[in-house]
Amino acid sequence: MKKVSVEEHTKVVEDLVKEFGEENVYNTKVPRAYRAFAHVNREKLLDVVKYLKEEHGFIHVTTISGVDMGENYEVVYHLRSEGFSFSLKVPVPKDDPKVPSIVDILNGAVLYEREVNDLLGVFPEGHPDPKRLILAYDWPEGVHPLRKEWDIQTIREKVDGKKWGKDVE
Amino acid sequence: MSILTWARTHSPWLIHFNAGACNACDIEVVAALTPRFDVERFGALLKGSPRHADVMVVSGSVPRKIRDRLKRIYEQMPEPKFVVAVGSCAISGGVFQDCYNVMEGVDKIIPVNAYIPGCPPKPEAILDGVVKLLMSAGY
Repeated sequence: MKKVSVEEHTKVVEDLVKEFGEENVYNTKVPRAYRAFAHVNREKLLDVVKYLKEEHGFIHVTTISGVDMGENYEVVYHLRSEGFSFSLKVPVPKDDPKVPSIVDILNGAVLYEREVNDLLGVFPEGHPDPKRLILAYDWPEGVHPLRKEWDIQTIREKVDGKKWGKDVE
Repeated sequence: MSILTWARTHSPWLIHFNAGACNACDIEVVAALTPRFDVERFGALLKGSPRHADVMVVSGSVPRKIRDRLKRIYEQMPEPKFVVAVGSCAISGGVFQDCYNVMEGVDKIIPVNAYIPGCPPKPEAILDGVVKLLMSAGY
């Protein structure tokens, strides 16, 4: 792998901001070479991913993670190109938890989007097969364990019909 | 001691079931089977099928997806059968207590005869647990 300076990777991020505008790609950060972060608007996500793939060779999606930030959810797409990791953070409002599916552009996202849908309940719109991936077979619909508004006893009440465990006698 | 009890307690065949363990307990169980610690001197032998086994050695915190399989494997064992829970996870869920997908211990699912604490327990502790189980069965 050839050595790349931090300026070269800053230029990739600046290119992206220039292409899509500061209202769509914001909070960009390049702490060092081979690492970058950016917030991306949900409406422009597909265009941004497509642009990064075609212009800068981000053909590998390492993983997709979902975070409950309190006032909204955040789905983080970790893209990679020749060792350069680029994390796209997409804020998702809590009353409309959906993101466009990037499976048509990056095929490797197919399982990660199902995982985020299971655990955080952010539905990937346009996913070819958005069925359950990792939750148990008898798990009820609409219960997403990584959402912060539920503690363990609330989840157990929804799943098992009663509270149980060391706090409950 | 009846001849039946003698025969049973002198050849307790084991089935080892990993119910979501991190492999540390499994390694210690396998170490207890090696000649250095030698659980075979009590007649114990690791078997590949629950239908051949008398003692089920369970490690791990029992996730929800494993729950039904654990019950099913247990039901396939012939009577009389015993269960040994190896490690903190198998006893109470261990550090995975209060996880959404963890059932917090083997005894929530099937009856347990011996508990071996530790994270992971030493092979000597596993030997001790198995021997105490055999003592309680009339060795």
